[in-house]
Amino acid sequence: MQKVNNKWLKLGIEVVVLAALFTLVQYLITAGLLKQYYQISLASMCINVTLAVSLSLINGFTGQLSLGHAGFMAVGAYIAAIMTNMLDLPFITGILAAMLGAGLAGFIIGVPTLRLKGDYLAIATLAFGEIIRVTLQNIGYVNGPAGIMGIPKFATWPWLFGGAIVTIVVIVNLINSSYGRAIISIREDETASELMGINTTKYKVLAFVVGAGFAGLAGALYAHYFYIIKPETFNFLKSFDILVMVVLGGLGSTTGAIIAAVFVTALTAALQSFPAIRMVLYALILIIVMIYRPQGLMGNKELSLRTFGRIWGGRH
Amino acid sequence: MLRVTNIDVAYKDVQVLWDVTFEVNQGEFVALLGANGAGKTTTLNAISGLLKVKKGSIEFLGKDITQLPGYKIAELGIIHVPEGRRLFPEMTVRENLEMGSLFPEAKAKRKDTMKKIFEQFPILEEKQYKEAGTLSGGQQQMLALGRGLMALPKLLILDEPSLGLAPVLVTQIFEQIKEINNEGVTVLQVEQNVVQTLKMCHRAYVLENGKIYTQGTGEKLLNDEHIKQAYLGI
Ligand SMILES: Nc1ncnc2c1ncn2[C@@H]1O[C@H](COP(=O)(O)OP(=O)(O)OP(=O)(O)O)[C@@H](O)[C@H]1O
Ligand SMILES: [Mg+2]
Repeated sequence: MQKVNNKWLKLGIEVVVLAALFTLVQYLITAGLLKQYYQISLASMCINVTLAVSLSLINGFTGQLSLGHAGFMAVGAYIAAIMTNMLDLPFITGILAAMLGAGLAGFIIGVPTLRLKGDYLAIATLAFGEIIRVTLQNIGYVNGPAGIMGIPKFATWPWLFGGAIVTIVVIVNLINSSYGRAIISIREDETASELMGINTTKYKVLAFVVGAGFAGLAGALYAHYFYIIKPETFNFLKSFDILVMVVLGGLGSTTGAIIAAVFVTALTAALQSFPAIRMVLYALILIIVMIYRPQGLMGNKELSLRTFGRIWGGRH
Repeated sequence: MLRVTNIDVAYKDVQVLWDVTFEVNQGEFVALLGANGAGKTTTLNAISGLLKVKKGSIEFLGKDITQLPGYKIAELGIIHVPEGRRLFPEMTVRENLEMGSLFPEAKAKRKDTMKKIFEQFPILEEKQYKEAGTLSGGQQQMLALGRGLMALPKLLILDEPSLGLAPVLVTQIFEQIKEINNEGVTVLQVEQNVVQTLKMCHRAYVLENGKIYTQGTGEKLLNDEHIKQAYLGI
């Protein structure tokens, strides 16, 4: 009984905190109190949280190295932009199509490569990201290298915040389900999970498709917030950025991925005028973390109310 | 129950098993012996679907399982406790045991089976909320065995369950395996502890350089001149 109460209490507190955060920002934006610069940062944070949490499902929880997350984001961004900008369909249709499209791309890449053990996925996703980028550069319908401009700015704060929250809720619930246990067991020891009767290919593909689908959502939000998308935006460095967030946060920690995504976005925004320093600092932070905390900020642990309780209570 | 017929297995181009044939009957305790590199692990991996065979067939309870993927073979009741334990190190002892009972039948009896395993290995109950990676080698071996039992196996395949254990623990683990077998679980076990294994098993096969060299009851092999020389140093 106590356990049940705690669970609901925890959920209640989370909902209240998130609702307060959402309302506060929404109020500041409507009242015109939030400078453009901060608005853009907050939007980027939501998009990056979506990207980092979805990649952490693949890289952190399933233990499969994907190097092409920006490619799935590109698929989502372009599909959504075509839907709204060129076909005049509603934003929600664009979002759903983007998620389905990116998920389907994940399925097509995942099925042949995830059947095999080893780093085939890393190679295939790396190639996929580049192929998507080069292909988009050569399609006249989406203006090649110039990209799509003047995309309607549908991605308001509720969409951005909602997108990130839905991603987190879906992925956390997946991880905490019996599916999640199977997924984590694959990371822990793939051979052992096969011997326990787990269809490892099925679960790896499932995690990969869900992760890719939410990268598609991030792409759709990106396109409809920044209203311009170019193939070059979704290059390998973008995939690398997302990977850095997941590694910094700790492989196998959703809260770690969220915190790292927020931190890296804030850092990037603060150093906007010094792009060279940004890359150096990035590398430096990564090196320091790898030396002093190779398991990442959170390791595979989650930050929870209990963690705070322990810190406040001084118990370890 | 299990019938392995003329299987050849190769890693890429390097063939390591030639025409291996043997069988395990319902309720039996069969040992597979041989020197390092003889092909024992390879044979077990071929049975449980981790490796594909080049030639030959494997049948279980009358069903051809040669081409089945590993997870489907497990579903049929062949549970393989692999070489080196291969636990889920960052899951707790209890979670590892739960991972063993994913099939509907095993899941339905999860509580009872776990209770039995805790009776057999009290240390696992004591450490049930500890991460598996923090257990000692012997405790990990008990957990690996326990996780296998959670699936309610029809055929339990064990690859060197005594590896790295102190002599008293080896005896203890062997006694526990014998007890499991007495309760009706068929056992196929690979071992380096030749004497102890031969004393305990019903029958044994001896693999040499990827071929079945000889077979027989434990008693017969214990008195075999070649076995004495090659494996017992007498
Ligand atoms: N993954 C692999 N790739 C290539 N060759 C392998 C592989 N695994 C095993 N071998 C080779 O196959 C042969 C049989 O190996 P196996 O592991 O089946 O022996 P084993 O009887 O289990 O030995 P041990 O008692 O040392 O465990 C050995 O010569 C080994 O070198
Ligand atoms: Mg071996």
